Amino acid sequence: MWNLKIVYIIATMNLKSLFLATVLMTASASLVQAAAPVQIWVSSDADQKYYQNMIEVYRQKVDKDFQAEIKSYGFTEMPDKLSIAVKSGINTPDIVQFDEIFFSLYLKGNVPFVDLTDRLAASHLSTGLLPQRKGLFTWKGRTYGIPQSLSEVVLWYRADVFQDLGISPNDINTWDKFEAVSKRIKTDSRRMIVLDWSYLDILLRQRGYDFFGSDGKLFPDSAIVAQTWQRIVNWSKNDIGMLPGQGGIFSPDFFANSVASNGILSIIGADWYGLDIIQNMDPSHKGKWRAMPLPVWTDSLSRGRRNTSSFSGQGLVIFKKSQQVDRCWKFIDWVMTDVDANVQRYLQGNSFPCYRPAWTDMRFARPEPYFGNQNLAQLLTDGAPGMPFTTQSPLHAMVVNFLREQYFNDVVRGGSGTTVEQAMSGIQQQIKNMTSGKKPDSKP
Amino acid sequence: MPRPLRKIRPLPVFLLAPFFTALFIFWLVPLAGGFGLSLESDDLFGETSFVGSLHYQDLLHDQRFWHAMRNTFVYCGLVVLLVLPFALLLAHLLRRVHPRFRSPMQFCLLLPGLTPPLVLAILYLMVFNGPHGLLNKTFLIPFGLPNVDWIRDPRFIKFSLALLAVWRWTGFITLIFLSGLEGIPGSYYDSARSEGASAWQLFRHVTLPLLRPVTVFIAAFLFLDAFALFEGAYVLLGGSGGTLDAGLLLVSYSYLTAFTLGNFGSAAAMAFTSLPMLMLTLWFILAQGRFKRRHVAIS
Repeated sequence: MWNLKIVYIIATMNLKSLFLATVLMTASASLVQAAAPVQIWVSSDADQKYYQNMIEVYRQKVDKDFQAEIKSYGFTEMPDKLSIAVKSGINTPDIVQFDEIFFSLYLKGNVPFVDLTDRLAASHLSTGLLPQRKGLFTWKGRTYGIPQSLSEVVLWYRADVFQDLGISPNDINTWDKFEAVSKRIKTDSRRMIVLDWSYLDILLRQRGYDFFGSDGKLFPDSAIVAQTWQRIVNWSKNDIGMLPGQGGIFSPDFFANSVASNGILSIIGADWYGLDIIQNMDPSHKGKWRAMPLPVWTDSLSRGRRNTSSFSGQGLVIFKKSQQVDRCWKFIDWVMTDVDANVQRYLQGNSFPCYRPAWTDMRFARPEPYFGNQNLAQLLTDGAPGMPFTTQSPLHAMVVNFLREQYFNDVVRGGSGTTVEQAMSGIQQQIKNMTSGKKPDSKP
Repeated sequence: MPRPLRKIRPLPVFLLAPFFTALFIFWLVPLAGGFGLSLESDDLFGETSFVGSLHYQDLLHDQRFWHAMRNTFVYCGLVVLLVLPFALLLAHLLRRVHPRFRSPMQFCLLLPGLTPPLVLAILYLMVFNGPHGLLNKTFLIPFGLPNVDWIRDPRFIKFSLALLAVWRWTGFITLIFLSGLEGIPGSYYDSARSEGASAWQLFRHVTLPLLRPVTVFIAAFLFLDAFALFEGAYVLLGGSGGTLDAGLLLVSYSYLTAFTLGNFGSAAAMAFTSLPMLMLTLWFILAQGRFKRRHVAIS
């Protein structure tokens, strides 16, 4: 019956009304498309909650029609999901929040994210972002993502045990002094520091070097890499530091054992590591952890006497196939430059922003009860200008994978006799084989 | 004289159609898609190009692939060789347990098999976690034995992975063996005993041959499960092959290639290359059952 009615209506329409109807249908289809919610993928439930709140604020302040759907994936699950979406073109996101190391996975060939270089240049972000963080999502001079966290590295230490042992932060303000004190206080069940693969990345950058040269070459300063890595190995040999169990320094097991039993007194980690990981995984030591600047390198090869470094960090990118690039960018620009949005990211998500104009907000200066009422923002903002620049590379994730899963622990533990030089050569060889079309050998 | 064509009856075709349609859509089409992917370049985004058998040729020279292949077969062999005798022994012991205690014991044995491998791997991690693991704390350190880093020391990684499978499957396999044992008619044992057969001879010449179909099924099941192990290895080794690739399995390498290196074409080629080897091994295992059936029938 209805079909007959439709046929009748179409048959009785003249050409003009048919044209108008077509235009109307096309327009309504466009409207429907314009109103399609922006798909945002984030890496944790805390981020999901934060962005959900920010969308509400954005709708009140900027765009009342803005709609978004947020999906939260696990930190390591995110790149898997994203790779499948990018490869298949199915259920793709518009905005993705993920880590700079995972970002490097997508730099091989055609980058699947929108080039934001020109938009960034025209935004307050260009002057507001800490310059050292701008390179995080930049490849070959083009910027594909906006970093959202400072990720400044400090030394997290157990102030209560330090006090009992008569150690003050000034006693360990250089790595040489740090080692001397560590040897003095070590016992069978106590080490000054836990060891993690990330230290190589962090300490190398602290010394003014990087895994990659500006030309993308791996280990351009191989002697410095070897020397830095060897120093970490020596920490293990001299019982200054110890390797954690499987799962590393992010594992609840590490906190339940080594940290809970006061077996580890310090950890090198970014701001988010202390604010998020230590605070959540070690509630029993509330008020006992503190942060201090990294001990400095005093040798002549290290560039500058930097007491800080950087490690990792998340940011926002826009998927190239998104139909709503402008809307996505407007939201990103707002959420990264709005002072309250930055403050809330710190208050709700323990992520200290790298947008400098926001730092003057007094809410950052709150005393942190978990850290003995220490003003962490002061420490971080004081150290931020000294943070090193980072160099991105499509090889970054691969190098991290080889280092973390195959070589770092093996070399530090010393069980199989692999030396630092052999490990470096193994990583280089695997990368070389991989990038030249052949697959890598498994042995160094 | 040619056989007359059988008339196709519509009802069976109609009834079977949904199954074959589902098989085609959900199995054959993705399989063909995967094969197509293995012939494409490794570009993650944008247009890919047809590279033919390039990825397959690359695999021939990929020492890491062969290393993973070797590891996988060693691991699968270890699992089968460890679980089978252990489960058979347990099944024998269980038969001798008072019936009142048998059910709770069977339930306990079944528990690890019912636990998702991901959860099991986390529990396993707590037991095997180096100096902080239950195993070292309970059995090695108190006796002055050196700490063993079960998951990081390349000498122990494969064995640790195999133990995870042993832990998971032994209980379940024990129950299958138990069913097999219960199914052997008692008259066989009676007549063998009347001929003066010893306990070992009973086991060797009655139990084992009659359990062979069950054993072959179990071996094939364990082999397939071990071959496809992913969750356990993923949790224990962080999706990698562990120290010096000592625990690199084909599935892990395929995952690494696709998701850590972004080479989906190569990963698909890897999966298709392992398929014939897997089929050959399974055929060999299943052939053992057929050969023995014939052998038993002749004797």
